[in-house]
Amino acid sequence: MPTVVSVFDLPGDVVAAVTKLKKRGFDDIETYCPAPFPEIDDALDPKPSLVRLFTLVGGLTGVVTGFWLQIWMSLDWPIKIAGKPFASIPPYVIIGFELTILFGGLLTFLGMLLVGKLYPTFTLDKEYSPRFSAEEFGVVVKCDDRDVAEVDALLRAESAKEVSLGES
Amino acid sequence: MSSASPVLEQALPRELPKPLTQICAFLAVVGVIAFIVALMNDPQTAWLAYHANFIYFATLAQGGAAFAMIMVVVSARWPGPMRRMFEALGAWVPVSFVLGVIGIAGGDYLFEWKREGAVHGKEVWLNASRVYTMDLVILGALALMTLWFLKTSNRPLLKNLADNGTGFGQRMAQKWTADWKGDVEERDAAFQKLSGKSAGILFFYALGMSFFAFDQVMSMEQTWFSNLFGAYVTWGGILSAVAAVALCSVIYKGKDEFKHMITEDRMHDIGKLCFAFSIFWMYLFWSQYLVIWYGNLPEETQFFMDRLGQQFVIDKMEYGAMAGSAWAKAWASWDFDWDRLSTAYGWTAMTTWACLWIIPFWVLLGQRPKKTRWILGPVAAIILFGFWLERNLLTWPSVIKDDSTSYLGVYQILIALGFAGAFGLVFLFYTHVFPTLAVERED
Repeated sequence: MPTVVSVFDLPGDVVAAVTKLKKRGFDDIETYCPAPFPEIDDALDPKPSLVRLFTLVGGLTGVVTGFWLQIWMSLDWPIKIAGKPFASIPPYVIIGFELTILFGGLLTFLGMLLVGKLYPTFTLDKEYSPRFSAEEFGVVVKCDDRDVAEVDALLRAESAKEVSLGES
Repeated sequence: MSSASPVLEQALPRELPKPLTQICAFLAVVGVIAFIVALMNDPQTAWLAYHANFIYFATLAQGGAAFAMIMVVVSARWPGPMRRMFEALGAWVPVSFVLGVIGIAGGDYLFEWKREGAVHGKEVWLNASRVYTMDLVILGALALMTLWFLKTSNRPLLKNLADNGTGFGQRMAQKWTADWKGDVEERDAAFQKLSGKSAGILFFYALGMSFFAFDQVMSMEQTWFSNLFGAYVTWGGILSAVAAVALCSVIYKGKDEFKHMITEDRMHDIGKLCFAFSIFWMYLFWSQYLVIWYGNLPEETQFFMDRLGQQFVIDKMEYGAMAGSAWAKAWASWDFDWDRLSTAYGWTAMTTWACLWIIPFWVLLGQRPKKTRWILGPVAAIILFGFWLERNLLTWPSVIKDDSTSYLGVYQILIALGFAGAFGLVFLFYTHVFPTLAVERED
């Protein structure tokens, strides 16, 4: 399967190109940006990221753990303090809240690493060029042989300044 | 040189919306009449209602002005027209100084220490001359600083109003734009002037409003004290200002001149502020409640007893029920009784809690609701209503302890509507006639 590599100057053009490509049915697209641009992410994949599921699971685990830990401990070794019930809710809210944040945060971070494939690897993408970490944008499309001409024309129409065929 | 606003804005004088202005004026007049009638029949009710609404609108307006200053200090670029809406809330600040002066007359009905003398040990602090001198100096100084801020902040926008306007707006704009140097120069000069001094004003605001809250609200229950209370009331002002601007932007999004400026991103941002600030409000309340609940000292718990009722200060001496599983024991020691919510102002407190935290938190949790007009708007209105309840809840139970609906009544509601009408009039005049709510320049 041939790989078309194109270089852009402006994030707006990348968004336009990606939107058009997706509309024509080319779904195997990879972009490279020198900085995060949420509009490019949205154009590539408008669905909400899976990371939020990690956050939800982490947060719920945290709040349950927080309350369970405290209630279990204070009932396992009951000491009467200030005439309050052994398992009293108001002070436990704090630990429950903090563990929600802690577990939610940690799992979000983990989810971001996993979903974004940000774990260390030994090889860089073949199409990656150091230019994409400087000031230019890359859009890489994998398509069938017979579509190369169409993709090429489409990218150039969205003011891609270079379009080349990568090694496949 | 950096600037708070990367685009140029200009004043947009418009006709006052006829029916709305008339309704506001009508409500204001009705409010004044209701206040005078109440003063003759039931002065305590009149003054308590006056005081609760005075606190509500004073903190709201001052919070709006302070938030506009915060935007200048941090050179916020996101708000666009919302900064002008925050400034428009600040137009009420000088009025609240005047209302504060009028409020001196009602002191005997509001403050036990004024009527019967302060409790032993607090005479130096709680006496009429110290309280009113200090509070009016604070309100007056804040009014002057806010006016200076509004004038400096609006000067760069007023040139076209001075050249092409009519009547009062034009005359004022000409006065405010004397020695005009050019659009870009004026904008940058205003930013430079504001960004330094605003930080100082904000410092004075935080300190001043805290003392104002201590004197005017906390001292109504003169044996109770809390260091956090000043910050709590002041924060309420900022959150209600944010909610007011969220409501305004939802309304203004329906108007052609503003539609393009109130973007989805800006709606999202103001929604996030409502959400986050509501959490912080709950955080402050909880920090206060927790130590008082645990400490269980009579001079501290009385404040919550008068408001939340017995349920929330319950201390259960329960040594039995130690058999069974941990969960059964935990459940057995959970002591909740609906009837206890009917003590003191329990249900009002529950409603306030729902309006200020439960609803904003759960409704605005997602991204979509923050960007949706018909969700963000009602939630903002609920927050504003919640703060009106909360301000009543801070003032009324200190004086009237045996009637859980004392803050509801014909006089009370008419006086509240009167305040709302007057606030609306000032806001409409500010946004339509002078200095007007600015729009981005097309050129």
